[in-house]
Amino acid sequence: MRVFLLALLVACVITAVAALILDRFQTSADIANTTSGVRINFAVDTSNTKQ
Amino acid sequence: MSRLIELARALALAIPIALFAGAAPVSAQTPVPKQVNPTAESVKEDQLLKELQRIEGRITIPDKREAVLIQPAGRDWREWRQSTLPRIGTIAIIGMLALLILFLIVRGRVRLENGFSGRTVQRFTAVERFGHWLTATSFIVLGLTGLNVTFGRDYLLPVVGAETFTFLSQWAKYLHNYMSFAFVLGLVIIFFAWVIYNLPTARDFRWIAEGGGIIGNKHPPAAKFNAGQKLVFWVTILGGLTLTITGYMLMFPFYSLPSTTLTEINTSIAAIQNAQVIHAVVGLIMIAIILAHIYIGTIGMEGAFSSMSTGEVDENWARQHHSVWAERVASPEGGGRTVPAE
Repeated sequence: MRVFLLALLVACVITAVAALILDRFQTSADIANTTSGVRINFAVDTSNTKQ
Repeated sequence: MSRLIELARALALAIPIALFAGAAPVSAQTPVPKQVNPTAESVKEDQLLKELQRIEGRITIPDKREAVLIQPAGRDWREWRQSTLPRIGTIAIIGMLALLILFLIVRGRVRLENGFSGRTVQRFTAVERFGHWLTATSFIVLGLTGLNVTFGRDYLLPVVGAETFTFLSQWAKYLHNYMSFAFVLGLVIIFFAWVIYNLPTARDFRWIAEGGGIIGNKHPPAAKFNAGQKLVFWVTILGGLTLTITGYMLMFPFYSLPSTTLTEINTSIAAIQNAQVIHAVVGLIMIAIILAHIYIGTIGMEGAFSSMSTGEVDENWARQHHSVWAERVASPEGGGRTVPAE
């Protein structure tokens, strides 16, 4: 059953790594450029900031 | 004097209001024109949908699809999601469990006819077992967390309460998204490890015709994988591929992709709704089939589980269920690796 435990461990490690990477990706995806030139960063705050 | 002015002002306001109010019932009795004015307060939502097929407004942002507020397809999808899907899931899972229980009662456990020989042969290498368990453990987590999406609100929420259900569902959602990558890696490993053994052969038809030796007492010859195991393999690979594609569409909806066609698909509301439908149905069917796989690999068949726990099976088990493969591995060309069991 060592192989089973190893597979379980690897599954957990992959899950944790994916969570870290995608969380960062999600944060970057929260920044939106609008056609009016206003840049909105939903991750930092909910207010609009002009760049 | 000032009272007169006030009276005149009041009359000046009252007359147009009275005229407008008197005219209103007349216009309400006239038939509804073909062209519905969506901004009219008297227009009902259902009537508007019937006439226009969807309710949309005017926007200034580039993506014009954002203007759609209500679309009938969205209502159909919600209806399917809330009533049809749980019905399919209940039939697939409860039906399979009922069949397995009935099968165990009627057929009983598939026993080793000649008992354990005391000698074992290696059936699966460590890499094969690693791929199997990586796929299996991640699939169990994905299956349970996916079932929570479909059935959680109806069955789990009343038992654990709103606060606990919210906490569990939030973490279940994270697990469902992030553990998918382990499942995909497992699929890749088992595909390359076993695809060569799972190509259909003429022997598979005989195996199916004779009921696989489970129905009745015959034991049709089989190589490393019999037709039933090949079915599970292809269901896992093709079903897993479908779940992967639709799952990542749901995880990354409305994102641009390298190809224009793919971007069009991934940014269409209808495609995302279809992806959810396919993902849920395929997932439920796979859960039902994997339940049967778990049954036959554990309590359903004597001597089967060790092939995935230790990687070895009893020689008599190999000869009874996989006679062609057993002859091959026992021969000098196949390595002849039979060892006494500890």
